Amino acid sequence: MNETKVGSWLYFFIGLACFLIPGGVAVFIVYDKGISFLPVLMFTGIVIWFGLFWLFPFTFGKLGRGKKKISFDERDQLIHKRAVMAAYIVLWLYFVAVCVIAWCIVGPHGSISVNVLPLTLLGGLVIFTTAQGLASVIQYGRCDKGEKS
Amino acid sequence: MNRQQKIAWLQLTIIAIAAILSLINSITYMHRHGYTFSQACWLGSGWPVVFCFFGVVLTPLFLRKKKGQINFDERDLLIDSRASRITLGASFFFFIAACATLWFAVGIDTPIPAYWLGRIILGGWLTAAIVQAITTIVYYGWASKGEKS
Repeated sequence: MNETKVGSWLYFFIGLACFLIPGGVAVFIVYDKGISFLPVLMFTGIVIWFGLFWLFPFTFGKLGRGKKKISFDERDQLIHKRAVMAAYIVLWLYFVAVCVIAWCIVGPHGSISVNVLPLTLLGGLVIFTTAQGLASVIQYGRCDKGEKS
Repeated sequence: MNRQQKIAWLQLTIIAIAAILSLINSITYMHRHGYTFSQACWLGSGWPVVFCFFGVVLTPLFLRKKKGQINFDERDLLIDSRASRITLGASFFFFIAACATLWFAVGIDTPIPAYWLGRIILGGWLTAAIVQAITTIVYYGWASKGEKS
């Protein structure tokens, strides 16, 4: 199993927890102490940080260029790019679906709580990570084919 | 200039025309009919947005590829794939910015009109259209390098 495949599984299992725990803390602070700049900033930071998470393999690839061992080749790069693309498309469809469904439920002149927006973002992050992890795993094949990291 | 460049330039032109028309309309609504700034902006950008949407979506139909001619090679595919990734990333950041800004500006538990969700989607789509066109133009180069469609 190569490094990217291990990374994909990590995205799928540990990644979800990493998204949910800090997001949950931000939501808890808001409900416990009321809205302030800190939880909003924290939440936005988490969203942006994890939104850029897919760039990590490229960064590591550039940092480790001097090493003799190649753990992220052209195939891995292609699979990773395709997975990111698939995840972005799923995320875009998710945002559109959530907005349209919420709009349809309350009607054109209805109103919704603004709390729906951060929850939508949190759901979007979970979906982005899940879709990216799943797309990588599917492209590599679900079973180990003897790739080594 | 090849087909992709022509499409990108035409889309940018349509968006620019729609923006100018929206501005003229908004100013007219404010000064002649006495609407407030936000009302005038939303009313003024009504039909120009519809024109922009159909213009951008239908542009590839106006610039059809010629029969029996290959006008989309590996380089074009690479540019298109990179532009799409950047576009989807940009619209994702638009969604984050829109949701976080609105949440912070309006305050927790405050109801917002449901049609704002539609406006967020429209903003995301507009961001995607602009970024896609600009990225395509930047990757090919602003000036024509002799590519033919």
